[in-house]
Amino acid sequence: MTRGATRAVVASAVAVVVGCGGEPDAGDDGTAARPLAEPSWEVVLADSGALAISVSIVDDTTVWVSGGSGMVARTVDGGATWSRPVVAGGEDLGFRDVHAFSADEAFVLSIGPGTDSRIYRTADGGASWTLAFQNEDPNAFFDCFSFWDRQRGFAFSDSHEGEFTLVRTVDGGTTWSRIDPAVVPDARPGEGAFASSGTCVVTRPGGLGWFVTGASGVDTRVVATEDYGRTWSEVVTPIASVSATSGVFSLSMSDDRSGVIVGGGLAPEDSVPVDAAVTADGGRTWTALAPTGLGGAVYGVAAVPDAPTPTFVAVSPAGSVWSVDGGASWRRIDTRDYWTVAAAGPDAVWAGGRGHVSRLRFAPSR
Amino acid sequence: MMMMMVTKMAATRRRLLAGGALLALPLLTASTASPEGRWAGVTAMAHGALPLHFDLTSEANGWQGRAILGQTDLDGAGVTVDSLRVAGDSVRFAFALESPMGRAHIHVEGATRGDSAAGTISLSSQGVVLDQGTWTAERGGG
Repeated sequence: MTRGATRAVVASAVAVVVGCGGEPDAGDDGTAARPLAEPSWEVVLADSGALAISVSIVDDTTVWVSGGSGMVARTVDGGATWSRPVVAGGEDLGFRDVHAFSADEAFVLSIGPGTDSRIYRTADGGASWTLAFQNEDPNAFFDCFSFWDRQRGFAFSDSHEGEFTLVRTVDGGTTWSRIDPAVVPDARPGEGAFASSGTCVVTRPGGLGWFVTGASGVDTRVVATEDYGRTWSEVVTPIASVSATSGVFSLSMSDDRSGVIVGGGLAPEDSVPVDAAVTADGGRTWTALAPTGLGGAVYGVAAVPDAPTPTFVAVSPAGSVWSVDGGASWRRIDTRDYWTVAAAGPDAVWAGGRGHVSRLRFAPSR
Repeated sequence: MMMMMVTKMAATRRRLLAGGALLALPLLTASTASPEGRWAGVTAMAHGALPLHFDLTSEANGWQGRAILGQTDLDGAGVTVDSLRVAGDSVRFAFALESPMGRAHIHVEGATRGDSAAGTISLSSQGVVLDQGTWTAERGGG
């Protein structure tokens, strides 16, 4: 198949999935909505010694960021100024995921084998932190977490001996208990997730939740719940896992039904031709998208809610790309190193990487 | 991540390491200067060319060093190296950086000749080699 034909097939598949033909939706006046245009990153936090790996957007002005070497950062003025809370006892940990509810309330998750996998919480804007969870299973390695609401959430660990370890809280993080492995699909040998962006676990209000996998060398899966983790279902995605270093790295849902996944391979020998896929049915089915062009592994993706056309932003250490046609085509933003990206709307797209946290600015609509 | 992957990926790892063994360490002889100092260079790996910076100092309690990979400047981003060994014009050290699979370990070996240096580099995490190749550097950069 020629490249043009491949592109046409991908574009038509995307059209079916996103239900927009890859074309802009009609505006209120009947004219086609104008896609977002001319994105550029504005660095709002520069720290050459920091590696930002997860972003949690609370609202227009409040954003939390976490990362390597105990990094936690918080802005309450849209990125103009930042506080850098220190998690006592976690200064050397890699905080690969953060979930914030407000300027005061947030959780961070650290990865690592055994007791290095922890969850800390603050209720005073990071002035003090409480150890909410510490893994004691030497075979567990937690990657990501998310919350449905202030009381309920779950965290995901790589598998061991055919079982994923999921822990759940129903009391605001005070206690955590393992979800019965019998209700979770069995894991392939070696199957797990990648802690590249704090987006291997996603939740939506009403009990919807997903985690994405790789590293099995068999295939990749999206495993989903619709009842706060009581039951789970699985589906294989078009992104391949050809080794322990390849698979799905990131998931973003713009609403209960529409979402996008990205991935790839970390090792040079990993050949993963499809690095992005999209769903329009809450993750029950996934359709391959055009390659992002980033190469290697795509670490993070964000579906931009409320954009005039289906808009995605994908990032990796090789740079960032964006799509305004639901992933039928991708265009380069720049080559700055990013690990993670999150979006709460066209005016709230944030990313973090080695040495910086940035906010995406689009050209003013004309 | 992936406690199981160590076993599962053993064949892949063996293959990668076997390939790495074929990478000849450039033979640099006739050294006339100590490796001490600040070095700026670049790697040649499958993932592409990445900046490599390191700073080695000889102190009363032995050799100390800082290094960084993938950054344009050692200042701020550099991390303390471990397993640092200097013998004549040869140098070997390791340092850790974050990777999507947890902490990645970078192992650097090489030799200096005057104000130039060259050697091999490998990146691994959880026992899996993520990339490997060669590097060259010049004294005084970065």
